[in-house]
Amino acid sequence: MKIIRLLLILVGAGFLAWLTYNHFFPNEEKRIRKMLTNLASAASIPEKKNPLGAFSAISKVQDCFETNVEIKVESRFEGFKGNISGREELMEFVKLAWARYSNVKVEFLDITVTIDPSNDSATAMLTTKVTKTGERDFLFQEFEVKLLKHEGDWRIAQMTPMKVLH
Amino acid sequence: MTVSNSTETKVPLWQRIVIGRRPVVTLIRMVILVVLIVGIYQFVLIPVRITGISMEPTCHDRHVGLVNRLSYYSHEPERSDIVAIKTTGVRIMYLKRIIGLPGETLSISNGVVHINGEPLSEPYVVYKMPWNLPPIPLASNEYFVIGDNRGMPQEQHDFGRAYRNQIVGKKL
Repeated sequence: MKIIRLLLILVGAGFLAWLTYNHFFPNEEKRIRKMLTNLASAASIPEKKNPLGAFSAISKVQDCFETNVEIKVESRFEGFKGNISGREELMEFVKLAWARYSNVKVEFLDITVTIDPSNDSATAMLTTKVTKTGERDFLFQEFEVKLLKHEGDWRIAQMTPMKVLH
Repeated sequence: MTVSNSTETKVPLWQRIVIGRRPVVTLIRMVILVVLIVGIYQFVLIPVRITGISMEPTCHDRHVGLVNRLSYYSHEPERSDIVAIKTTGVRIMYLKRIIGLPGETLSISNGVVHINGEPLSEPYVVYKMPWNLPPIPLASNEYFVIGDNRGMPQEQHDFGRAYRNQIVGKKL
């Protein structure tokens, strides 16, 4: 009985140690997922906007992208058709969105991450869902996201829409 | 020899109603039930809420339904099946009807679908506009899917070829 109890304690302690290690030293895939989740959160626009919150969110969004980022957006996003080239243009777009909209929730769903063998680039497939809070209807678009690692941080270099029905 | 169940009589009525005569057995039953329900809704039947009008009048906007993931376990998808097609996962899916099967050539002329040059009878299509689509050959792993609502502008309607491995299941 004592041996079983000891074994149970050891298994529990091992599990806790594994959880702690993963929390403080996540693998690259988890880091990318966390970055994308944080980006979705920062890209969401609350109902009650304030200049400080806007500044903080916009700078968080900026930190997630390469300076020469390329984003293609298809016509399903009405009014957002076209390409965004470079972080400066993206920031103008984000500022405009903050000025024009409120109560917008952005989510990245069904994320699949593939790390390249070099370990400094990766590809993520995800579905972007944009909802106006309180409304049932939403916009969505599937994206292929290319990421690069610079000084330990993952940043988005390219976002290209995917066509599920081709 | 007679056996009397002394514990049965000692269990208060409220306890028998709430957690049963034998709480451990009740707990095991609950766990099995929860595992079964979660398993069924995770791996067999996916509850879906329809958003959009592309499947009108068969499926209405904001209605709920179920998609059976095991429908195509024993046989391949068939023409006129309403299927769920995954995007990058199953959190958001397309709900469309199969009109073209692998190996066929499909075209649309003035709103009439042609399969290998023959017009396709589509009793489920009520609203129709003169859509046009040049002939599209389907590969051995491709199905052509489209919504029932052809009364909307063609460019606003998501339709096209889907790979077999993108088809999640059939709508019940």
